Amino acid sequence: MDIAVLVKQSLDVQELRVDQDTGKIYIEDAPTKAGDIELNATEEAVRLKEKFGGKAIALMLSTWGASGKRQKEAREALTRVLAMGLDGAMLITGEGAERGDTYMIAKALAQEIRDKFGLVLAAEGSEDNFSGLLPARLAAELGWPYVAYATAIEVEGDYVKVTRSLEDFEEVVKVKLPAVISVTQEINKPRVPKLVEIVKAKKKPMDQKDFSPPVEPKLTIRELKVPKVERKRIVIEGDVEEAAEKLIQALKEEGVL
Amino acid sequence: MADFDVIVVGAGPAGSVASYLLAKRGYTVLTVERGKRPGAKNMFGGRLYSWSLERVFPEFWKEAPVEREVTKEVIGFLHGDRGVEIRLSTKPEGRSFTLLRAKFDQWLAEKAEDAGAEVISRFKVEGPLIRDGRVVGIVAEGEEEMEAEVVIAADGALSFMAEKAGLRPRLSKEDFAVGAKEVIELPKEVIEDRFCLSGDEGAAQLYVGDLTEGVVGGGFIYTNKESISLGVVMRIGSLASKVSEVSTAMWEITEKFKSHPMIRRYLEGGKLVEYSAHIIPETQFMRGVKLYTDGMVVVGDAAGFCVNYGVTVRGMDFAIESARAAAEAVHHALESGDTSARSLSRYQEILSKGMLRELEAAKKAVDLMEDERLYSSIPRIAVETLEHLFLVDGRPKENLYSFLRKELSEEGISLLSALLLGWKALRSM
Ligand SMILES: Cc1cc2nc3c(=O)[nH]c(=O)nc-3n(C[C@H](O)[C@H](O)[C@H](O)COP(=O)(O)OP(=O)(O)OC[C@H]3O[C@@H](n4cnc5c(N)ncnc54)[C@H](O)[C@@H]3O)c2cc1C
Repeated sequence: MDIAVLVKQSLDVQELRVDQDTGKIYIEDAPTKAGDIELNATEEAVRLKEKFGGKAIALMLSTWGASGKRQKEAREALTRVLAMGLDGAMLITGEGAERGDTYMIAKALAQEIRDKFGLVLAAEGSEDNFSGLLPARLAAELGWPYVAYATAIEVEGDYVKVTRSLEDFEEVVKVKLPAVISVTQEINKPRVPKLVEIVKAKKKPMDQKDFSPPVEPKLTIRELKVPKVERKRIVIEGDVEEAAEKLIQALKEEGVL
Repeated sequence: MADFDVIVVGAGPAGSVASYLLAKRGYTVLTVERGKRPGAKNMFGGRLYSWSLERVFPEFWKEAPVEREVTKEVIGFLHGDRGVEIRLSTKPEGRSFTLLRAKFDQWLAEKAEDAGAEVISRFKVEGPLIRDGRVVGIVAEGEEEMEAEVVIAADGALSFMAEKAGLRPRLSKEDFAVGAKEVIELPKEVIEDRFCLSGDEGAAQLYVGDLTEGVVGGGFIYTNKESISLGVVMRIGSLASKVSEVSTAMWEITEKFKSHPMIRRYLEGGKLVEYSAHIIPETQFMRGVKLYTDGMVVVGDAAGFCVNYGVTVRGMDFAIESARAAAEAVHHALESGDTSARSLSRYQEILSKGMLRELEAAKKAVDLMEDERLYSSIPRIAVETLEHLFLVDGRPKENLYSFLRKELSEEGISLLSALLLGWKALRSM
């Protein structure tokens, strides 16, 4: 059984610059990388394939534009997961993908997955958008069962046994393969590739495919803006007792107390 | 067989140029950089003298992400909230460009990659791999060993590579100066207006005065396309004993510089987008550095090829030139199959015919610049003498000469040494 790992090209949110006055987000300037939870999905795929055989391939559909810079970053992100032990990678990029919503992206990914893979591993949510919708949509598209929030995965013949972490309890479910599973960060500790593995990863097969939109997106993003946080700019003066009194008064007026 | 012909540690200008030249010759090159990407954390004041990079990439400015070509040089003396500025408009033969390292270093590293070097970021090298007294590779993060015929240490001012290979003594804080810098965004037109620039012209402005409170150093402003780089450089040794003290002092002095009435007007309405600090190797420590050993050469800041004139720092051009010489020597060593210290000594030979002479001269100039009066008395006297010159208050005026004499004797400086000091002050910038 071959495994597909969905690796999203995520914005490095730590490096996202915003203009507090205008709310503008400088998306173009922020670099991208493989999302952190995708590294957990990759680790799980590598462990499963080491135990049960088969191949594990990374799939990336790049949605942050098809510029040279973004493509280079995408290849670097894929090199990172290849270095962890995946067998190959496929990068799908092209004009139009940046307009993709989960509906369109799921359809496009399904075309690459159907008949080729027996298991899809994904992150419970992406680092930048964290909508968490894609794996479910993809499963629906494929007509496969979907299990979310996995903290442990075990393959048993034609079935997978998945432990799911829910708010107050854990649930263990068994579904028939093929299936789509999203993992949480608790599932494992991703290995840190060695230098030699990164060097070797650069030589592993990486297919590049042109993106062509299978459908029109249902959702379009008009604008991205940071919410404005207005401070009250109230300075309370006086000795401690007096100030505390005034502070309580002010908080009451705001309806906080 | 080693894993690579050459391993380069660090993808700053020195590392990337060495990687590029050797990869271009067909050697297998691995370049390891600990930053998120080449240039991600690197900073400098703002100006690259182009002579050495031109030898590697003729007319590189047509392609490289440079900001502006410097055609306006400003020297300023600050005292209290008063100040003097001298502005030179020029079109020098030796061109120089302002630039931002994050973009520029990445461009250079891409050049190396395109030539065939494997550039790997986010990976820290712990030190050289030494067997039987010979450098045979590197030890990377996680105790991983990687072998190479030759290692090029391009890991910057703190170079643990050089230290661990026994090429330089453990350095103390006296061997370094520190610089802090802010990048402040302003619209292109505003910059051109405030700094009297047109098109791609740029300005380099340097200031000394009481803002550093007698410490050797000063403030700088370089104009980029749509931002300005502003900061201060100071002798770390004379500054404080603890790192935390140094960083607060740097921050305070930067703020003081920014709020000076003469400087403030350049920044008005600007948006602070970046803050960084970095150490600068002092030229003196080069006296204790060896440039090569069996299987390894040291280039750029790691070898101390950096001159701190006081306010201006020059190191990019030396880093690039030393990398070029190193690549040449390493090529010969690999070709002849002899990578011993004797064979690699060619590196020093190439340098001593050119760049080292300039560095020697610079070292002498720097020694003369130690005089702390340059950074306190001279700016004060310059400001007060000019004030005196322009003063009209209806009272009889003391002649300029006797005014100057009086000012100088208050500081215990003779006229002759004042002239010398003045000259040095200009040189220090
Ligand atoms: C405040 C300030 C202002 C300056 N102004 C100017 C100026 O205007 N003009 C000028 O020409 N010069 C200036 N300089 C000097 C200039 O920045 C340096 O001389 C130049 O950067 C040296 O280049 P380099 O490649 O040798 O080292 P660096 O640019 O320091 O590059 C070293 C690289 O090695 C990497 N590295 C370090 N250790 C490791 C490790 N263990 N493993 C992997 N990678 C590692 C670092 O991340 C870095 O990318 C200034 C310096 C400062 C601090």
